[in-house]
Amino acid sequence: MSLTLLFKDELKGFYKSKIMIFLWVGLPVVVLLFHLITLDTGPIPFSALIAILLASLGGTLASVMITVSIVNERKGHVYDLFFVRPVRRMDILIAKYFAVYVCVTIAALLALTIGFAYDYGTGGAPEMFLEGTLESFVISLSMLAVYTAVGVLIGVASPSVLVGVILIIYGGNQLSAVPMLLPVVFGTSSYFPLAFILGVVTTIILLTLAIIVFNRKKL
Amino acid sequence: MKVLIQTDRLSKYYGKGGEIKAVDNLDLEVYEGETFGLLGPNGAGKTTAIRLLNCIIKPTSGTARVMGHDILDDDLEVKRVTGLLTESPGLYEKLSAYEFLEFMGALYDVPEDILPRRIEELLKLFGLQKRRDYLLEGYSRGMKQRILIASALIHDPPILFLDEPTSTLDPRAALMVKNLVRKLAEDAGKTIFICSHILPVVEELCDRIGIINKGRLVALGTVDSIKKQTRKDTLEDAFIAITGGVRKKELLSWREQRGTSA
Ligand SMILES: Nc1ncnc2c1ncn2[C@@H]1O[C@H](COP(=O)(O)OP(=O)(O)OP(=O)(O)O)[C@@H](O)[C@H]1O
Ligand SMILES: [Mg+2]
Repeated sequence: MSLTLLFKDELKGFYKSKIMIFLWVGLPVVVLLFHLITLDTGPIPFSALIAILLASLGGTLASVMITVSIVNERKGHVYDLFFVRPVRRMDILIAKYFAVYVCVTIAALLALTIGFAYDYGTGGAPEMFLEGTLESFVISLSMLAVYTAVGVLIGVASPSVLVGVILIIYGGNQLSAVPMLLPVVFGTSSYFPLAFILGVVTTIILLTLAIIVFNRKKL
Repeated sequence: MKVLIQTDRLSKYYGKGGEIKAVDNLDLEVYEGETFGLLGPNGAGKTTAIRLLNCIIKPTSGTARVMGHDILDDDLEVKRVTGLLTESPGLYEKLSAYEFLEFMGALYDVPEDILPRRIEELLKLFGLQKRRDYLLEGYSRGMKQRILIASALIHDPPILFLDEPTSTLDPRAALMVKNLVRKLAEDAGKTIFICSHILPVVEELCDRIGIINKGRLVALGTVDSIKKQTRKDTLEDAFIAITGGVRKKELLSWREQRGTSA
């Protein structure tokens, strides 16, 4: 019950502070600009390129967003509002996690749609770029999930916004590469499902850690 | 008289090996309908006591019952019967007063057919009707304090905790909050638990007070009985005597020292 309330409230907050607009307009625009600057990407379709770009750009965005928002609210004693009320602490984090994830995923989908439209417009055959792109997009989504979870953990544990952002830049990227790299390391043939599952598992582990830290924090 | 809050050797220790005794074996009873004041110098453990009683932190040892609910086992139940204004609370600045109260009410599952009416009542009581649709980021300190107290009452709890409700306010805003608290106690019959070190506020509002020092309860009773016990004329003198504060003479001793050394 309170989880859906908190989730809606987070989305409302992102909407009112215009974060959504910057994400949903900004990310596709940046991706498009990127393509215009590096015109010669060889045989890789633009949409596939976008899917790869999204994972790192969107991921960093998501984790910075969530870390900054959690640290700020911790510092501003906003969570007191919830701790004094019958709200489970883990719901606060989970609501924020999904709010950020949904926002960034929508931004990613918008960017990807533009990519498809572009490829189609420049004469690519749809089936040619669809297949590979969709797979890499799903992997991007699971990387985004890990990135966002990293953001929650760092937001909960970090003493300040600045330390949080530094930690994300140090560790966030490496950690979210796990679902991409591990299957390669083990040289498995079923790369795609394994990457996806690893992403989900890493996310759950990170979120659980964050919840434990949050529950134990002296306030 | 019915006991609404009862603490049983309630303790909270911090630091290595628990050397900071924020609250130390506190035994206290608060009765239905009274306004109780917990007084103490900075760092005495007032905020810690309030946080324990509202299940925001867990005690190191001991326990307490709030309207019959044990703070160790029934934290969600305890939170439903209490409202709390914390010491330096945050706000959702991007919400209007109305939206904020609506959100806080929803967190307590206040039924949807009751909530709008209750919000209107509170906005009226707290004199915030005209600004109800303005974002909280533009509110003054006093107005924020009022909206926060209103939000602590949104589920109509029988017990209201106020941690330093007036210490950051100017005299006019403080007076307003004071009158409000009195109204809540007298007209709405709330049981009120106030923490403060502003003695006149406590003296005016509270039926009974407890004085806490270094986590320990060192005095308990009506203001008059505490003055009598310490044989002082004012609560301030009694407070200083009980909490072992420095006397005026000691405060001025540096002058004499300088005088003699020069
Ligand atoms: N999270 C914490 N970690 C360590 N020590 C703490 C913590 N919270 C409180 N303390 C210590 O416990 C003691 C009591 O603090 P508390 O905030 O309850 O005092 P207070 O009476 O509310 O003071 P004030 O009048 O300044 O608000 C202090 O010594 C404080 O430093
Ligand atoms: Mg305090």
